Amino acid sequence: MNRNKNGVYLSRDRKAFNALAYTFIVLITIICLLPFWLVVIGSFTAESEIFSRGYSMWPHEFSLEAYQMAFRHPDEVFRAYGITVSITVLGTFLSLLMTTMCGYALQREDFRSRGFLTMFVFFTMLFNGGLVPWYLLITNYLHLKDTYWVMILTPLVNVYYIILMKNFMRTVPKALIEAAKIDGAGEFYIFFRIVLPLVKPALASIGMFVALGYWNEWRTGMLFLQEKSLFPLQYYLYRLLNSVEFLKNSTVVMSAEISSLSFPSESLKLAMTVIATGPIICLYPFLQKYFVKGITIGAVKG
Amino acid sequence: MKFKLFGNLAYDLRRNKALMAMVLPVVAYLLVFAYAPMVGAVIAFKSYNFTSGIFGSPWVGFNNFRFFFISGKAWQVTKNTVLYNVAFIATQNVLEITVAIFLSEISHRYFKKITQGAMFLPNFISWVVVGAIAYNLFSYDFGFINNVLTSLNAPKIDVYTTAKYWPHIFVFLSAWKHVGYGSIVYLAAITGISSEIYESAALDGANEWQKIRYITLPGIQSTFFVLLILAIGNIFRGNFDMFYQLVGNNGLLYNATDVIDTYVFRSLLTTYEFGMSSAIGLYQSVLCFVTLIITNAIIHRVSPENALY
Amino acid sequence: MKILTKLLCALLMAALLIPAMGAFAEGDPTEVIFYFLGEELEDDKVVLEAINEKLIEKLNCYMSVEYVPFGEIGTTYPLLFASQTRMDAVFSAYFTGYASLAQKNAYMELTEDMLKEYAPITWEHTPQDVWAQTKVNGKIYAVPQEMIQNIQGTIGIRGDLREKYDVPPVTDIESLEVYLTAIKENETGVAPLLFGSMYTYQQDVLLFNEIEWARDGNYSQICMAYDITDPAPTPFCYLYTDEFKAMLDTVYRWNQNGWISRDSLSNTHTNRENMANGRIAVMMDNAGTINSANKDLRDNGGPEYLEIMDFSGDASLLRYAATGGQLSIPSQSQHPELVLQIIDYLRNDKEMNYLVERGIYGEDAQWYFAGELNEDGSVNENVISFGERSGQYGGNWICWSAFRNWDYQAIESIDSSIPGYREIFFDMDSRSINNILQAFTFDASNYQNEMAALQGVYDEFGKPLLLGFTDPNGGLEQFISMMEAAGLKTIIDAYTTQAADFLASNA
Repeated sequence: MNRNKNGVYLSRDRKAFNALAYTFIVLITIICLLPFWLVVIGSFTAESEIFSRGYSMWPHEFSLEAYQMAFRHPDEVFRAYGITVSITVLGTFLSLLMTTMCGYALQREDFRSRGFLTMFVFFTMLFNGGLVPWYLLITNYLHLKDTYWVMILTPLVNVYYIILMKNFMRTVPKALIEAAKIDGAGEFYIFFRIVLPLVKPALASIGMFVALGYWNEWRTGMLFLQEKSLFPLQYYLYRLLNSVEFLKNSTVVMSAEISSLSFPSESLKLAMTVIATGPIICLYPFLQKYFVKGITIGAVKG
Repeated sequence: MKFKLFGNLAYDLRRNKALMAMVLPVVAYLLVFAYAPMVGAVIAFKSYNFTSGIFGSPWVGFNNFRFFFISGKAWQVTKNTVLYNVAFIATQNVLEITVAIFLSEISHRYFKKITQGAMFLPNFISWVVVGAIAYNLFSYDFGFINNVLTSLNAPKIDVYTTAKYWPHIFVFLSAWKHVGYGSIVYLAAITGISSEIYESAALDGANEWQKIRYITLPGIQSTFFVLLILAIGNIFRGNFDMFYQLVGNNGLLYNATDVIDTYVFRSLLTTYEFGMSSAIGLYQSVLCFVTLIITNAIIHRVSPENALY
Repeated sequence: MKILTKLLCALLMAALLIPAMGAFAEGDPTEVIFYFLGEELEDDKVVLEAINEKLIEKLNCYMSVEYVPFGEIGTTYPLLFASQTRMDAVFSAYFTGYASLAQKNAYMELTEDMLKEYAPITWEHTPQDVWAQTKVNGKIYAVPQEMIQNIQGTIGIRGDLREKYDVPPVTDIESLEVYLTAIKENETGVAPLLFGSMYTYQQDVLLFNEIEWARDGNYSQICMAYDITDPAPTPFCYLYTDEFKAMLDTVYRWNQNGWISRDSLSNTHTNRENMANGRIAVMMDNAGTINSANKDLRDNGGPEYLEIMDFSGDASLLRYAATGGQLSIPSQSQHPELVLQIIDYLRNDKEMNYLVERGIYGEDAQWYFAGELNEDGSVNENVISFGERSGQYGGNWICWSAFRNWDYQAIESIDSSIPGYREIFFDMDSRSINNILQAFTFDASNYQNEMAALQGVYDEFGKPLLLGFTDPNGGLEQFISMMEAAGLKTIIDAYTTQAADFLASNA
């Protein structure tokens, strides 16, 4: 907030407040960072060491076996990355556009159906048909099984975010919209040119949620994908871990002459997290900077 | 009521075509992906078989609900579900608001970015991995905590057979996972408060605490209520992944850790009674619905502008 | 009208069948889709290609294999039936809820006529009592595994630790307790016993094997058992027996002595993993898994090794359920007859069976899976030794067990097994018997609520009792009363009535 810069004085109050604020935030940051650190280090640790020593802050014996296992087929991993990136970008764009437009319209007081439509939307959060009817709809009626679009469509609308967005739209001054209307601006012009720039923080935060949702999505893959070439990253890794655990625990009478020790499932579990999160962490500063810009521009074009 | 509804729709279709067009994608989507499958919810009252399908299978009335109640666990798991959710809502909102306020007051740009980024990390750690970390920490014979305790000659703690630790663990973990996420929403709300208000308050000699008390908190009130309503809309649903990945099949802990979703999952794992799982889903929905109506009525009294309808 | 439709259907079927049956069939080969549990392994495609080459030649069809991960038995697997996904054959087993699914019409009934016509060798070669096991309400819904696995519980202990602490050889429960005491007192960092997901072996080792009882494997939550030596046994609920109580007392004592790790309720690692990583000194598991764990330990290069033993003396043992790994034909299957023909071919043609079970036998060392060669160049049929990459081929997985043929089955070679392993294997096999009640499947369709409620209670109270975390004095009564509240008595009555009817009609 710029007022901190404006306020020349630093009262005792302010100092106490700052001390508290920094301490608290640092503390929370450490609590959030620590497990992640354990995960990263664990992923570079030999499987046998995880068993004998547990996780540690630093590996006693550095090992890349988990990553070697994960990248046995680099082409598949990179394809999965590609799919995840593309569904995340496209899905976030579509989802955010729909969510924002809907949230905006539902907040407009001259929109008489807004009460009914809000309930219409909200009701689906409370009641649903259950897994089986939904599954049948998607596979047998919409024929979306084993298609790229199923990954985009199933998480597309999240009522939670619509309601949240509707609430954020309250901060847009009504007078501004009225004035634009009087100037003869169309509704879509008002929405894209006046409203969206005003709710940038909301767009950024909800956009981030949506994007993370797409990025981490694997359940859709589990239910609707058989075709390996369509697997997004998280589901690809999930299946990889499955096959490693599967190989490791042969319980049939005749087990192959192969040691369970050569399948690093514990460290792979951790490496999966790093593989899925790594690019985001590396790109995070960049992403944060351009995210808001990107979505507002994208929205305008759309 | 009905006429008014159609009247409104007709009015908006005529006068607010653009706004109608804006909600259309979502409405159409929900009609297809949410409302259409609701017809299939009748499965809760049927004895499902694969060849007859949902509509051809025979009706059985409320029979599919019975298993939940004869097990003697219905009350217990329902209570656990609600109490956990209440605890999560309370702790998380307090923490999220605190974090958001502090972050908004911190002027150090990079510090802000880095800490905020770090708070997002727990979101990337799946509950499976959290479960593995927890086992590595808490295991009685091989866990980190007990290794430390042993080396200090202190008695070991037996986390996996002692139910009383678990509510704390879950409240902590749930907060750990969600606070970074949730604080973003509050932060966005605080950013939306006009800075002029703060400046004039500062001129009037308000201190930091007063500004928070009289400007920030009222400013994020509506966000709080929305989040509350959304949370209550799910108050009878448990976070299956979290509970299942951490407790697994450890019966000694169920009294303190079993929620409706985990209980139903375990009970129906190999009976494949789709009707029964749907029945309990319906039970949860109805309870959520009722709670929500009551909550909304209360909010309507307290601060009408924040009610859902 | 109905007759006319039926007639048309029959004609249509015939029209479809004729090209499929002919060895010189014309047209493009038919795709037959198999769904297995598990994961596709790296070399599966190569082996499948070789299998398909032969299938096209012989039956003008080829197999496509899809996999459902093990963890999705409760989610994706039943949805395949609900959505009528195109699949022609699907893996089924008692642990995937075979009986429940069959009662919900997930599978097509396999009539004797069908089997005789399309899988004649399999029909002949598989004993009738094995077929009988697959019957649900009197109808066959699966081709069972004919090979009978011995997966009865045995005991493996760390031999190096036994020598280190100078403990006499373990031969029975008493000497095992001596060993457990020694480990507990001396060895830090190693838990004497740690149970995990496979904890049920402990019941077999400590109770059921010795007294010649068998539990109902379809529905473990109802705790029904019977005497396997009785030709017409009356099933009973073992929770009420003194023997069961005595076992719980033993386990409770073990737990109180600190012999059972406090982690046993939350441990998700398998016995083999824990043993291979030096966490435990004793494991109760099937002989094959103990043998594998021994190999893992040897691979560590340290002094660790395992000793294997069996406490069941000369008691009769029940053969592993034929329903433990079978192939069913889903009701939506388009090529039931081809599926049966494929099974018959892959299972009974020796060359094909070797291909299916062991992979490609060839000049290329990279693809060397098959049994070792004898001096004279012939394949030693009773020795199994996979090539370097054999772990990447899934033919030896349980999903393929419906293709197994006992006559062509190989067992662990002497070099790669623990001393005594092969003896125990053959000894257990010679004592294995079948019982008529293996073929009895409780029809639970009118008791689904009770079954689900009992499952909930069993999960919550049963496991802690079985692993000694709850004092059976009081704990057992509480468990039983919870079970009774959930409808145990109703189930016992229904079960015993149904079993009596079954015996009467099958005597």
